[in-house]
Amino acid sequence: MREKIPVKAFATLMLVLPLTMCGDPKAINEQNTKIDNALNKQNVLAAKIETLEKSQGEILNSITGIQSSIAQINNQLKTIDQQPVQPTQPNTPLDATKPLDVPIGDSFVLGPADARVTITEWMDFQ
Amino acid sequence: MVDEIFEKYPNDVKLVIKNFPLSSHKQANKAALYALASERQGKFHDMYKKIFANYTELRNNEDLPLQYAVELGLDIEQMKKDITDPALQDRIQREAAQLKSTGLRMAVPKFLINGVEPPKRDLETYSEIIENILKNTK
Repeated sequence: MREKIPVKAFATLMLVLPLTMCGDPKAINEQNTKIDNALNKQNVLAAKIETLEKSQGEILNSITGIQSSIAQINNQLKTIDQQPVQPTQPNTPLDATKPLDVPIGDSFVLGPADARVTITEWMDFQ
Repeated sequence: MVDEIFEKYPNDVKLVIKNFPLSSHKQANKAALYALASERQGKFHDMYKKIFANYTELRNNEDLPLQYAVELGLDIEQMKKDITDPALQDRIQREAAQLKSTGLRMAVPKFLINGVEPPKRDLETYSEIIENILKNTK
């Protein structure tokens, strides 16, 4: 199997070789700087891609979690649907004729203590 | 109207007065405290009548009951001290809680005659209810 030549080495060779042949050291340095800059940019891009891949993984995990929660809620709703519906009890209306037991307690009393009729009054001073 | 009931049935009716100061009435709670403080000096009903007769003036002066206290010959310093007694506020809250526990609509004034809320608040209705009670409890 043919061995692959590394991209960096190949690029360097292709750029440097002609210049070396020309023998201009300044031009060679400029080309080296350009190559280094390109490689740096490549590294930055690679790091960004790695970060994006990591974020993508986290988003996928969240989606999986949400899907799992929705499935659980659907199961619970099915269980509720299967339960027999209990008829709701109407609110018992207050029986206006049934006497309420309101203790006198330490409230102020006007009139004879043994009176057969007790009028209870709640009031506010306004 | 309650005065007329007392005139009509002086031996058969007693009136139990319970406080229910509405929170929307800013001076009502303090007025209730003054009335209960007056009770400690034996003048609850006199103070009650005086405050009711002039209740609109409480908006301008919530300490107006102190003026009534002077007119009633009460010990003012004792009264000022008594209205800060937590026992009085506690009593107001207990009396208000009693109305809440009845399940009745919390509107005041609220009257019950032997535990039943009269359908109307007039002398004729009250007299009819009272006479029915008296007839059935001889």
